Amino acid sequence: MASAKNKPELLKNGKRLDGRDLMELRPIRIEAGVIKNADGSAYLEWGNNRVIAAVYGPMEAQPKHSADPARAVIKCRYQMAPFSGLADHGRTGPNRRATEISKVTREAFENVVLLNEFPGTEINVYIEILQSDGGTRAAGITAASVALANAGIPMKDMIYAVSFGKIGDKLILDLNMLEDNYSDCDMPMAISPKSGDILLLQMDGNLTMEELKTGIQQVINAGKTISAAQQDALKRFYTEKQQAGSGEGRSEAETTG
Amino acid sequence: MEAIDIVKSNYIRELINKGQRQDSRDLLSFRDISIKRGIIQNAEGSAQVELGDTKILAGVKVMLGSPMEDTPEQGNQIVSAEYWPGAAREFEPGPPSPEAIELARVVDRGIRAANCINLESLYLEEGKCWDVYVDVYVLNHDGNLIDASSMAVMAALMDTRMPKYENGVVNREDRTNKLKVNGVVATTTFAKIGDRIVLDPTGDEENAMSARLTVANDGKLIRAMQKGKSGSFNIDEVEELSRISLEKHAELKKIIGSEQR
Amino acid sequence: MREIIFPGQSVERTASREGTYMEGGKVYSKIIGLYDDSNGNIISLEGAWRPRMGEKVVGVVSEIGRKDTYKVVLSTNTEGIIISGRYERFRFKVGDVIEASIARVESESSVVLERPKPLGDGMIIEIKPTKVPRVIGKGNTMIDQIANLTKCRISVGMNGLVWLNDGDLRLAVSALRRIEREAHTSGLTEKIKKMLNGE
Repeated sequence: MASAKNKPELLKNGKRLDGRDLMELRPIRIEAGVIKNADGSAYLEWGNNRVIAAVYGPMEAQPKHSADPARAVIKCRYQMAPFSGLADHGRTGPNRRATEISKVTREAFENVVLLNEFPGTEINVYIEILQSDGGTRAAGITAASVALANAGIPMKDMIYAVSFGKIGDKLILDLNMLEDNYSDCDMPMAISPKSGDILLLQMDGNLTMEELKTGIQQVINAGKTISAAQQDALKRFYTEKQQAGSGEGRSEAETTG
Repeated sequence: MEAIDIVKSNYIRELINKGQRQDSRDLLSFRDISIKRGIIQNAEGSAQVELGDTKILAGVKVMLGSPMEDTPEQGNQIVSAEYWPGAAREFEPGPPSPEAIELARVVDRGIRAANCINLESLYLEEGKCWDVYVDVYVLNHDGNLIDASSMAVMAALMDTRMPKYENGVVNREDRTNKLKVNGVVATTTFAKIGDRIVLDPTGDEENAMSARLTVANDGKLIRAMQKGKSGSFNIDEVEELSRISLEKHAELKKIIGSEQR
Repeated sequence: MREIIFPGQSVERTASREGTYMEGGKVYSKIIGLYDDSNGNIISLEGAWRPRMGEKVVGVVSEIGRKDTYKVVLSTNTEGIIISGRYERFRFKVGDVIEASIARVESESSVVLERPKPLGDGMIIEIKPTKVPRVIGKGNTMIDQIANLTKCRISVGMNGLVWLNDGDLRLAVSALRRIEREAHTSGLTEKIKKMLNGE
């Protein structure tokens, strides 16, 4: 949270600066199967966020001592591209923030991926923020979930994530960068929609008990829209691929002999 | 999976020996190329290139910096490359590999040698200049990263809108002025497979190649070269490939130089 | 009706436990797949190969061990081992393509192979293991049709590696790729036949 100094007005006539209602999500569009080499992948546009996620595995865990003989291990790497921000040129390589996000993201997926089906293996989840506008960890989890499904990784559920926050005494959903910087609370959550279980939860700022309850309920309600966008991406991938198949496709062999 | 690559490489060598390629291309043809410009609005410039199944994203950030001591009246051009571990099974997270560093340096060299960005025009005032950061992201690797990256970087630079510098302050709200780019540098990368040479090798072809030669030119002059891998080219081959590279420039310039954002 | 089913989606009836899990007395899909509500079948659309005893595989010899034992690459996650027995004497070198049967599954990542047979020169391609049954077809109908109409010699492993040689390789590979893409559509055998006959 930035200090209250120079804090811009974030609400005008009950609307947010980008014209949204308090509980309105930014537009979400996802495309599955965008990285040909990966076992599963997804590209996501969420407001001005641009995220790409790729999954490799399950495959033999490397180095060998990182393997768990009883289950698969998930390795997750969240990173921001150096050109992803408006005002800065970020350095590549994981910083403390990215390392923490990678950890809590991994833990959220460890809850739903059926790890005991692939002992001794690793599943690699790479999340790259190509353009950031607030809520990138939620966007990353939402994209990676599609990539995991696209990779055929057995999971109990397809999870999604979104954050809620507060401007003055008004609760808001899906904070953009400006709101993230100046609001009175930011609380990103990842949810398993089947059970409603909370798999990632972080918060800073201030909330009353009442606001906490309402906020969580709003995150649950938003799940319908976000899950629909995830499922739509996969449906399009599998139905369009079948239509694209009418052509001969790229041939890989020349006639010999 | 290296053993599988051996089998694939043997087959590719056999094919190329007969003058054929797996994807039915001529030995000296590029794969299909497509470019999308301006897809990262936060960046000052960006472009995504698909060269067959190779996919590269280049982003340009223009930041306020200070001139180097030995060039006090110039700005700076800084090119880096990221082998994103999502782009191929064999890419590993970590500090830049020698391959990633070579990629960035080869791409940088041609553009720098041809003065595509006039570094003097990036000078602002005493002790202040623009630093042009160009970051190459490999999103999917199916061979010939150098040519795909060169195209992406060139297109991203031509897409770049400069921030304003007013009274010592950077204003990114108004990015209407374009970065002035002089000429178009294009690279052509050749792979030696058996005794024959192909242009624009795929990932499988790169596994089968013994040597690689990249020639960057601006349509008139050769601007940068890089030979890679442990095999060799003879003098005639280098001359012939340089000639072909110059010939290919017009075709590539047309693809890179399209003005639409 | 066949429809796409997602991980976590509940299914009313299932024919097998494959692709599903139970929780609180209810059955859910654990994969992305196609659900056929008339018979309760779930066909997975993606996923790694899970080795089973008796399956035929195609692999590449990657290492020669002591006493004529060999390591064979089968997939990114699974390695095969050949142990030369009294009745099975053979010599392979690294890079040889072979077909074999799985004698024993030690783990997801290691299987013992038997009856290895060298396939010789040729090309190999990788197809998604989930699509292999469709590439082979009921009673080998699909793969026999491709081999007959392209005059190729083809060996398909359940692990997703396919070896081909001789004949019209380009046409055969196009057919295999098309089956991989359109595996979940109906009338595929006829479509491929037409394609191979140049109709």
